[in-house]
Amino acid sequence: MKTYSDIVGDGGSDILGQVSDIVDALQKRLSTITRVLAVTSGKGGVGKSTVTVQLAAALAHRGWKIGILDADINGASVVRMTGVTGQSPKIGAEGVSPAIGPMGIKVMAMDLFLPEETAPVAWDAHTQQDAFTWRQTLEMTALREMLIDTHWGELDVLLLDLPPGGDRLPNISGLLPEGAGALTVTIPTRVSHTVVERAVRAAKTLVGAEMLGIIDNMASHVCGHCGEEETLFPGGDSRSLAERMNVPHLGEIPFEPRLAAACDAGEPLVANHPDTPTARAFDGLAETLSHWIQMPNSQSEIQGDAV
Amino acid sequence: MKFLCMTCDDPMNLQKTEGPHQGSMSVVFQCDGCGWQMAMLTNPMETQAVRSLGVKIGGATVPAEPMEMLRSNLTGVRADLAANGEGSAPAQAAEADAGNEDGAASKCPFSQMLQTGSEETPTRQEFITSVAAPPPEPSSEGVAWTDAAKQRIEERIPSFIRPMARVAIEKYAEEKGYSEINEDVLEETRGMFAA
Repeated sequence: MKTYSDIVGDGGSDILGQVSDIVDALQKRLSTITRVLAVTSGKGGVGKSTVTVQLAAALAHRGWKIGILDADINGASVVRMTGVTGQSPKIGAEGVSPAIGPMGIKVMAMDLFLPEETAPVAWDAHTQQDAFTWRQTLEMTALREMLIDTHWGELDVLLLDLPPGGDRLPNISGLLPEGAGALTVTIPTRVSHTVVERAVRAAKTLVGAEMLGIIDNMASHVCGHCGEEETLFPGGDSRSLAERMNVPHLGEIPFEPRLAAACDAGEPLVANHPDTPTARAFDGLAETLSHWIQMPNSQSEIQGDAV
Repeated sequence: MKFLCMTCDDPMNLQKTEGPHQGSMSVVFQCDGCGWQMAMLTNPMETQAVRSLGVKIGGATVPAEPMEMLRSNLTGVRADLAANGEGSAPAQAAEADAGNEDGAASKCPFSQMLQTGSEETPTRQEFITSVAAPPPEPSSEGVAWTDAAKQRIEERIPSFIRPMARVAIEKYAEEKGYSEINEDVLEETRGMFAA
């Protein structure tokens, strides 16, 4: 009796052909994008979206053409942080036009499709019982559609703001083109380092993307009154983490109230408060990544401790 | 997923799809060799699993609309999205899906799963009737059937299993070196199909 592998095709649906068409569409869409950069972390609450948005602004401030895809389907925050709340995606022959944020940053996110900002993401189904069996697959398909069907146009960098979890980067590895990179965000605590280290180890094993380095977010606190920087989390040494993981330590981002206010208002800190330590840190990170953007894909290693 | 006709040891081919009805799809496969047909009936969770992959059962005859799966499956979509002109295609496709159980124009949860052919979706009874119709006669070049033997399997073997029985009996006759299939041969195969 024949086995599965003895039979060519699937009898009529041509699922493999449909998947092949999707791959072709992905390659075509990404052909106008120089670099794809995933911002990731095993740990939640470390500021991935903040780093994504402010780094995007810092890169755009330097003249790069930037897009952001908010890959956090259920916890999207990039729309608010870029000030594009209320913009409606335009659907045309070349795909769905993204929202346009400050400095021309193009934004695509699930909440652009929702009827209101706080509406939950809910999917039609005959039954929601045991939704865990299909929901993640469906959300991956939605993410793939947002990547492929968005009319990004010419971009120097497309940043992907991933949700927390060590599995997130490996899960999307099939969507990442050659020359893609990943930044890992942590905060200087041992708790964060433990989770981030696990995620980085998994990513180095499972993902083809270049691990560009670790960013130490909330590395210090900038006093709102005197401007002095002080320790915010006393527990961790992110440089040691980077050394253990054999990845570059790309720098430290201080926290300050104006950063939180800028994110709430959808404003770029680097443009509105360029002389603050935090804005300078993001600009330093953007400078480092500017070298990476210009490198050929085969020579993507970058130097750490630029910030 | 692939289906194999165990009698012919050949892959079966997709004939038609229907549904979903109450979360279940009916997908009919047929063996081109013996005409044997079978219907795969999915439960709601299986239907939803396929739907989540963003592929179409029965093949994709037209390119998908931008973000078709996302826009068709979100329970709530902002009202001004479809107002952008070309963005209403998934809703229009759902409107055309007259067979959906809810009759909801824009919210058919499964419309994008099925091949978007030009034929109208059959009613459930039409579908059952078409599936139950006699499949094509199997080609039998080597062994002839007597009229009595033909009549006997028509009377004694249920229609849904008849094509498979014909092929199996012909194979048996060929292996035995018989030049024709008569009632004696059917007696010998009685244990196989109670013919």
